[in-house]
Amino acid sequence: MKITEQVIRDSLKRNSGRVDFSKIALKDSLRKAGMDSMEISHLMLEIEEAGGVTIPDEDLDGLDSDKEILAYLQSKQPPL
Amino acid sequence: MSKTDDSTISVVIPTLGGDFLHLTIEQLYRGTVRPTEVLVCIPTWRRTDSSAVCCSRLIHNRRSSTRPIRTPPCSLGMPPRSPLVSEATVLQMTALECCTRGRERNALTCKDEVLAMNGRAGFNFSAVEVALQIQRLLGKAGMTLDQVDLILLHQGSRFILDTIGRRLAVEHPKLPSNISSHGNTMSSSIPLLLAGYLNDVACRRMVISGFGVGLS
Repeated sequence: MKITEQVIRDSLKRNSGRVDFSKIALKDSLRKAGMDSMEISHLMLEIEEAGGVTIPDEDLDGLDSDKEILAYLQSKQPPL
Repeated sequence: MSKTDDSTISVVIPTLGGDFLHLTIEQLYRGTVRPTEVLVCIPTWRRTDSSAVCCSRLIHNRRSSTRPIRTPPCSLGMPPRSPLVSEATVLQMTALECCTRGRERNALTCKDEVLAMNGRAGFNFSAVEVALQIQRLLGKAGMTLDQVDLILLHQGSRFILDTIGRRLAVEHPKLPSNISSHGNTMSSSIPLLLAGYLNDVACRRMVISGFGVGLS
């Protein structure tokens, strides 16, 4: 499946835990919004499964918002 | 668990300590071991040469004696999972499923006596593989989740339990947890959880899954 902004938002909605999903904007830091490491791990797992990709541990620190995640995945997708 | 002879139990066992568990379960199956007095399996440790050997001890609640059980050396130096326990219940294993993710063996390492764990790898393994294994196990047994009364999982983390439950579309009371009262009791978590259901006649079919260490 191609990962779109909507796919990420849907996954975020399922995994935001105690954090109010509606208050997390596209550019907002997920960690600063209050998501903990387990919630973020599950968010990444869902995105990996949906997109059929693997996000290495060393890339995780740079992925802290919907926008960053989307840009990262788009950079990994082969050109059309 | 019913006290009748046709009680069934399904077990998912991790690979670590596998020989020990296979032996124990086989004995349970044959009835040569009455897990009657067995309450809990306590891992103790001694070190021989470079490898740690886990010595477990079966404790009898009606006798003063105990019977040690020695297990093969554990490559990661961790205790095996504990055996199933019951007094009057006859347990019958209907299916067994084992799984490990060897390519991610470095998720848990011990170097210079310092233990290091990649928590994300452990979480991903548990979240993905445990639910898949349980589905495979049920397929082997020709059963569906609806036919299972209880799913007993290793009580490693509330979040992981919830994640697996969500993936299986089951929740409490079919997926019980005692982690808020007991914490993560490692190899004893399943026996401690199981103890509360052994004489519950409403729990005739169980799926038990131990997972975690070694991504197994």
